[in-house]
Amino acid sequence: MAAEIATAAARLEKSRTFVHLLTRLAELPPAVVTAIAGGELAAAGPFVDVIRQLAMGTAVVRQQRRFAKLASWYHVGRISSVAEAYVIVDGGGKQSFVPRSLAHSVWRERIGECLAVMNGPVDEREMIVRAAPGIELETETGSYSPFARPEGGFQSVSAADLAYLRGIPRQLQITIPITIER
Amino acid sequence: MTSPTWQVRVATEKDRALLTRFRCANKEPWEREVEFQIQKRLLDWALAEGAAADDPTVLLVFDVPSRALVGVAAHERQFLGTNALDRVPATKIHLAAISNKWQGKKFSNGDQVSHVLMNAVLTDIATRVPPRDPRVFAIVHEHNTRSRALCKRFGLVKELQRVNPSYLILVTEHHPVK
Repeated sequence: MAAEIATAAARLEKSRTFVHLLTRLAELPPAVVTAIAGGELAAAGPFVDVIRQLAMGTAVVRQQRRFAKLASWYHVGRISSVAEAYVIVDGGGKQSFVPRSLAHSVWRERIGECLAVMNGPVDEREMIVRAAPGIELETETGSYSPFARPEGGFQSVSAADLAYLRGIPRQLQITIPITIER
Repeated sequence: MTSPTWQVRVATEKDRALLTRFRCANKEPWEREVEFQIQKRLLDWALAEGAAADDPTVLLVFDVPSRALVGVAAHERQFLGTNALDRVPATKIHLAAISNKWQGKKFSNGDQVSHVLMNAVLTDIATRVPPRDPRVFAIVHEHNTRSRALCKRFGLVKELQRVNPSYLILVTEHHPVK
């Protein structure tokens, strides 16, 4: 199983999306990269699109039958409740109680923040629990969807482009006669 | 000229289940984005209250012999501008997708599937009542080479300044006013 996971991870790390992420991270100061990689930033900011693409690619791999067993080893969700000694993570119809100190160690202990918990069973009586900071991908801040209707009722373009668009549009290139049934 | 072996019609609420089953994505993230939109969002996008002002339309292309849903495309009225007052009317091709089984294929009468789909969109825009501006644009992922080639073939050749680093805005060619 470990070898299969490593192979799948290596394949993802060779993907164009991952290489793109590395290229963009390389443009930042090391301290900022360390903060992002360590989870100090709760949202992906300008990286939200590339990280979302990477997450989608990872999800496809994770859902493969050969990795089905992994599903019981991790839980990803949002913090729904905070107590003195623990936080409750809700996600995918499941709840996890996570020691507050673990959540604190990865900068996630406020309601609504994303947190992942990985359970590594040692034997029937022992388990290693590891917390990992989740990154917010559903925020509108910094995110972009080519399918969203633009705010303000117009797609923003530069002044130079608008000047170009004030010209005469070339006739549409219709090459096959089409009848559309309504 | 052989008679068409395809059919194009406007989607309605009754097509929701059909669209849910539509598969067009392989491994690329931008393909999955489009598939997700078609399966989960497209009819709500077109039929939502308040959307009518943008005149959104979803077109479905079928193979007549097999009755298979081959392609899906959508478009709507939008504006391009620098602000709400300084803008020009346009039509956005919201999406265009061909089912996995039909990608790169021809209908039995020889028509290329992608060409029928694009012609359907452009015909619908051109014959719209009230008329739509022939200024047509699409937003395409920069690595989506097939869609970029298809846009170019159908006249969306001018690239505008990007609003997102990963996506191109491609628009029909314009000639300066003399």
